[in-house]
Amino acid sequence: MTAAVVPVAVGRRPASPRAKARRLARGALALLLVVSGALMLMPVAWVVVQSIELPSDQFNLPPVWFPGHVTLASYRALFSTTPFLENLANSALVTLSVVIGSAVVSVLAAYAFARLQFRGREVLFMLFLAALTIPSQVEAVPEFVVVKYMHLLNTQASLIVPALIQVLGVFILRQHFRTIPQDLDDAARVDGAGHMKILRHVMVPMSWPAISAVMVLTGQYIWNDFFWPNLFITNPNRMTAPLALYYQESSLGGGQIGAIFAGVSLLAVPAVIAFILLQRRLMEGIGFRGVSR
Amino acid sequence: MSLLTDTDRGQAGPAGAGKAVPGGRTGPRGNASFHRLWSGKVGSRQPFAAYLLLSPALMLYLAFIGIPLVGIVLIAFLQWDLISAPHWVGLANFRAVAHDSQLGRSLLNSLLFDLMTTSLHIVLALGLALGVTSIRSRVVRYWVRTAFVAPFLMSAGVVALIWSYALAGATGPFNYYLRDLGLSPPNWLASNTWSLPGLVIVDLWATLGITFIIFLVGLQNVPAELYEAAAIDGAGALARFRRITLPMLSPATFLASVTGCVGAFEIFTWPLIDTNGGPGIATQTIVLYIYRDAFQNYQFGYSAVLSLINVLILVSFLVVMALIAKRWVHYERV
Repeated sequence: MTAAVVPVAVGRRPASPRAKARRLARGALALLLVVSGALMLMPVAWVVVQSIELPSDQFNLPPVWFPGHVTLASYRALFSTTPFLENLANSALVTLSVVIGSAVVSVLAAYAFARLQFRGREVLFMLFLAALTIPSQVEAVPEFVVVKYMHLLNTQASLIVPALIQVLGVFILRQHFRTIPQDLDDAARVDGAGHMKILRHVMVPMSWPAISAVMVLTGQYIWNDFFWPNLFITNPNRMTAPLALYYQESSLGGGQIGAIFAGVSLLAVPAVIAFILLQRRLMEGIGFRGVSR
Repeated sequence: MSLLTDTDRGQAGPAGAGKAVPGGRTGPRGNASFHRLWSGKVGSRQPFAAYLLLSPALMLYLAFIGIPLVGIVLIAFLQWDLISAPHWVGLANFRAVAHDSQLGRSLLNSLLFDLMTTSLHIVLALGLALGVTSIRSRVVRYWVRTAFVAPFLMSAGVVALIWSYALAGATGPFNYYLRDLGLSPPNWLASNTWSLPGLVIVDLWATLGITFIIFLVGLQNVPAELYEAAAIDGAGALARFRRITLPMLSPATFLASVTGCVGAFEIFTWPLIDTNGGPGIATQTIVLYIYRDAFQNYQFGYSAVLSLINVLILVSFLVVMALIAKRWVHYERV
C-alpha cells in the first residue's frame, strides 16, 4: 500500500552526478557486505578443508586452501579411534526425545493456560515466565544434585528428562493459542468434543507453524547443547557429539587434530545447511532464546 | 518476534465470565471430569482438567527449576562434597566470601567481557542491519544473513574448538593473515591482557547473527510513512536516522541489550575450552569459577553461595534494564 506513495516522493530524475555517486556508494557497500560474509564463513571453510587434507598439508601456514590431494583419512581416524558414531546416535536420540516430549508437555500446558479457568492460573503462569529471565546456568549446582539423587548421572535420561520442560515453548504456544478465535472451540464443544479433541482438531492444526517453530528451536538447542552434557556425562560412550569432540580433543592431544577437525566439520556443515533449509522457521523464534555460550 | 506481540489478543469469550464465580467449584469433579477430558461436554471452568493437563509441565518445573532454585539457598548453608553426608555450617560459606581472592577477579572478568561484547554487538549489528536494508539485491541480503547467522546454529563446544586452533598465536590462520596485513597481533588466548578480548572475538563471531536479526526485524517494522513525511519536510539522512530510525528501533535495541547482557554474563564454554580460564585466572568468569568450585573442588556449599551472588547480579541487571526501558524505550502502537 505504501509502495504506491514512494515513487511520488522520490520521483524519477535524470541521472545526476549525485545519483551516480550514490549508486557507486551502494555498490561499494554491497561489496563490503559480501566480503564480510565470506570472512564470517572462513573459519568453517578452513576447518573443513583441513579435515580432507593429507597430514603434510594440514595446519600449514599459509593455510593450504586448495589441496592437490584429497583424503578421508581424518574421518577414518575419527570413527576408528573414537566412538563418534555412537556419540552421533546419542545426540540424535536425545534431541528427538526432547523435541517430541517437550512439544507434548508444552501443548498441554499452553492449552490449560490459554483456555481454562482455574485457581492460581495467573500466579503459576508468572512463575513459568520468571524462569525465562534466569539463565539455566545459575542452577547448575542444585540441578546436578537433583539429577544425581534421581540416579540419572551418566545416562541419556539426564539429558532428556530435565529438558522436557521448555518454558519458552509453553509461553510461545500459550500466546499463540490465545490468538485462535474462541468460537472455534465453542463450535467443537457444541458438537460434543472434549479438551483432547479440541486440542487435536482445532488448536494443534491451527497453530502448527508456531508448534513446529518451537520444535525447531528446541531441537537446535538440544542438539548443540554443551553445558548440561558436560555436567552430567563422563562416560565417553554416552556423550553427545559436541561434548565427545571436546573430550577427545583434550585427551588425545596434538596428534589427532585431523580427526577432531573431521568431527567439527561433521557437526558444523549440517548446521549451515539446516540453517539454509529452516531459515524462516528459525527467524521467527531466534530472538527468544538467549544464546548458550 | 511477531509471536511476542500477540500478548493479550483474542481474549474474548468466557475468559472474563469466570471471575463471577469465586472459588471456582462448579460442576462435577473426580472421575467424571477425568472422563470428560476425552469426550463429552466441557465448560472452560474445569479445575480438574486444567491441573491434569498442566501436571506434566508442573511436575517437571518443580523438579528441575523450582526445587533447584530453592535448593541453591539451602545448599549454601552446607558443607557438602556430594559423597559424604552434608554438614550444616550456618553462615560460614557466606563469611568465606570476604576472604575469597578469586571472586572479585571472576566477577570483573564476566563484567568486562559482558560490556565489551554487548556494546560491540549493538554497534556492529546495527551497522550491519542498516547496511543490509539499504541494499536492494536479494542475493546479497540472503548471503549476508546466512553467513552471519549460520554460526549461531553450531554448538558452543564446536565454536570453541574451531577458535582454539584458529586463534592460536603462532600457528593459527587468524594471526597469520593479520601479520600479512602488516599488523603484529598478540597471542590472543595465552596473553594476560588479550585473552579476554580474544574471547570477545569468538563471541562476536558466534552470536552477532542474533543481534543482527533483532535489528533487521526492528528496521522492517519502522513505518515507511515516517520517512516519507520526513523527506517531504526536507530532513537529511542524519536527521532521519536520529529522529526516526533510532527511536523506532529502541525496542529492538532494548531486547538486544537485555538478552546480550544476561547471556554474556553467563559465558562458560569459551573460557572453558579456549583458555581454561587462563592464563592464571585472567579469563575465569563467574560461571567457570562456580563450575570449578563445585565439580573440581567438590565445594558444593560454597559454589551455591557463588550461584546466589550470580542470581542477585542478574536480577539487579534486569531491574536496572526495566528502569532504563521505562525512560528510553519507545513503543509505537501501529
